[in-house]
Amino acid sequence: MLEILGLEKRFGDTWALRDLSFEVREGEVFGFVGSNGAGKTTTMRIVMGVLGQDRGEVRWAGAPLGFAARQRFGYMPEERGLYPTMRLGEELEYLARLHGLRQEDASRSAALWLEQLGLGARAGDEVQVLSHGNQQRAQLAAALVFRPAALILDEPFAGLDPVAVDVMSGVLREQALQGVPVLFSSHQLELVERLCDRVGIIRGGRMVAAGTVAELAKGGGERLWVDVGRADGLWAIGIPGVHVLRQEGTRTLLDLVPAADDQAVLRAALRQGPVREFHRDVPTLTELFRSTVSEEVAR
Amino acid sequence: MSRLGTIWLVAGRELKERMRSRAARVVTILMPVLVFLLIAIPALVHRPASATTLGLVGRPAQTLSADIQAAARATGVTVRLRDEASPAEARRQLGQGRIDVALALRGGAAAVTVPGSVGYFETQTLSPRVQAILQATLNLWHEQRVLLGAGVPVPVLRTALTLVPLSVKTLKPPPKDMVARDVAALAAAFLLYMTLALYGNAVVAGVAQEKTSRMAEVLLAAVRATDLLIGKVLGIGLFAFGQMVLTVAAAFIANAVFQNTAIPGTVWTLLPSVLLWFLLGYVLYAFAYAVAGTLVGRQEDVQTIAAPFMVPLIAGFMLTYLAIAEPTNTAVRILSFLPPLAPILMPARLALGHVAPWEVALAVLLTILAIWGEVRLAARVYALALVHSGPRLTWRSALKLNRD
Repeated sequence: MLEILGLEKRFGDTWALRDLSFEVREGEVFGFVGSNGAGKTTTMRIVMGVLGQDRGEVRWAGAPLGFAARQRFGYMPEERGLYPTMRLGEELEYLARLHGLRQEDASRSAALWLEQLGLGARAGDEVQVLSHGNQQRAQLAAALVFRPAALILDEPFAGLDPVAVDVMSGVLREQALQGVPVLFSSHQLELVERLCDRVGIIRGGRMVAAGTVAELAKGGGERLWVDVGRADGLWAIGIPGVHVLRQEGTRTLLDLVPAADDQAVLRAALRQGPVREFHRDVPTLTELFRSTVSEEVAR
Repeated sequence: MSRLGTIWLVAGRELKERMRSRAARVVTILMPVLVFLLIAIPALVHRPASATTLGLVGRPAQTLSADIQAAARATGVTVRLRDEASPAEARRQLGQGRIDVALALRGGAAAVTVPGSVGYFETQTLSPRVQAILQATLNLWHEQRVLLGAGVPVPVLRTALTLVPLSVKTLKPPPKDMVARDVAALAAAFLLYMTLALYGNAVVAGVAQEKTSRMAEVLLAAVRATDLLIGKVLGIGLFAFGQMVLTVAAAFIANAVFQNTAIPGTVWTLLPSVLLWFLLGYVLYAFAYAVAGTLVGRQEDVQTIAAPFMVPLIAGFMLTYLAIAEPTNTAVRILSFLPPLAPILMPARLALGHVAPWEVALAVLLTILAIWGEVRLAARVYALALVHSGPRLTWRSALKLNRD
């Protein structure tokens, strides 16, 4: 398990991370979301040892993460980087060897990943002649070629076409199935929701919510859609712990504080006449994220 | 993999990528070929001066043979004499190149005929020294004729007209090979200046490419910054050293085959010291150049960022001229110990031959100490500046990264 414990980092007078903690378990795909500048990249760079933290700790398998363990982490930085004039196959072999594979294993693994990511025919080409999408795939291959113990991927889906997104998603799920913890950041929230076992929302360098999407949705209380055939939500006013959020035609969206009784709502609705709709509203990750960001803007 | 193994792997990639580059392959082949030709062509074209063959036309001229030989001996010129029966015969021999000069006496006047031609490097007419010999002999012949006519007895005449030997003594004789030493010093300084600048720039460009292509972040997840830095410097250094060895080998072979006498022997004995100082100078400059490479924001910044290193390199080369003019100059002696100047100035001073062994040892020691300190600082700044994004860093801000 990869544990991030109380990380703090300052750049001059600006706090990039403040007491940031979360963990990525074995075989788990963890989606890391947040606005630009929230601290996602800084966290990943600290995990990979590219940046040093001011306080806090990164632990791996119960021990502080050191160079030798980190060498087995696959990393895809936000700004992609491969030697532009090197041949793709040779470049992957070289990276695999730097991460500790023997020459024959490195060659085999490079060929395997190039084939798997649809780049088998491009092994002899220089990286700089590949299309943007193929360079992205090459970058993923670079993170996978040495059979990593964990994957740290900063915006791996940025700029990919739908087919490439499917390929990348498939590979990440496959790695998780093999027990590899996968931490990745993305702004494509629907994709994160679909792909991740758990999600962490970071705001202003702090982790404001972490868990499954359902758990995150619960954290904000319960919401109900009720249709009693009235074009206003006045009937719900006065029910303890219940607030009217929105009215759409004869449908009313209600927000219930955690202690509120949904059966009291049902009884109040039935008093108005026939109840045509009564169900829980599960917010999407996008909605959760927006509400988190709007809190940030409100502050 | 061990750290040494990682360093070798990084060095191996540098070496392989450089050998794959077409431009580098062309330079690797061209440099030895160029040096080979530079030694071979002058040796082939410029034949050493051989003896002058002088044709004496007719009896009167032939009577001067003993005087001509005496004058030639006095001036250290080898002259071969041939008797020619007639002017026509002499012209024929000149045309066929059997004689270089024809001398005929008619009455009281002398006529000298030469073929005259244009060679690769000079207009070939009568050499000034042969001309002086002939002039001296003719003056003697003329005086003899006048004095005999005036009735001076022959024995007196012989005594009076005997050449007086001139002996030259120099109070402070310069070393016999002074010119050779100057040439060797200048050649060594130039070679070191050129190669240190050339391969230093290769290091800056290589590091800058790693930074601007954002490769550094991927690499630093797998390799310690110090190992990456050492591997890079080693790889480019091995390539540079290989090119130098090939070039020097081409020079040796060309000299062995063509024996270019224009190149003094001291140049060849100087080579071990040039190679030693190339190694020390390369390591000293390469680590500084590598850190400079991490300061760039864009690949275009490379030239600007590498420019300051040219100052000590050019200074070292220019000071070599001062060392040649005044080999015992105190300022030059002191400056030749300073690590940035020593790799050029010390081998140049060694070539000039005014260096005590302790001076070389001290300069080597100071350079090694400077390298040690530099590598410790460079590794730290390198790791931080290499992954620093944004515009070009200044040296001050890079050092501040280290303190922060």
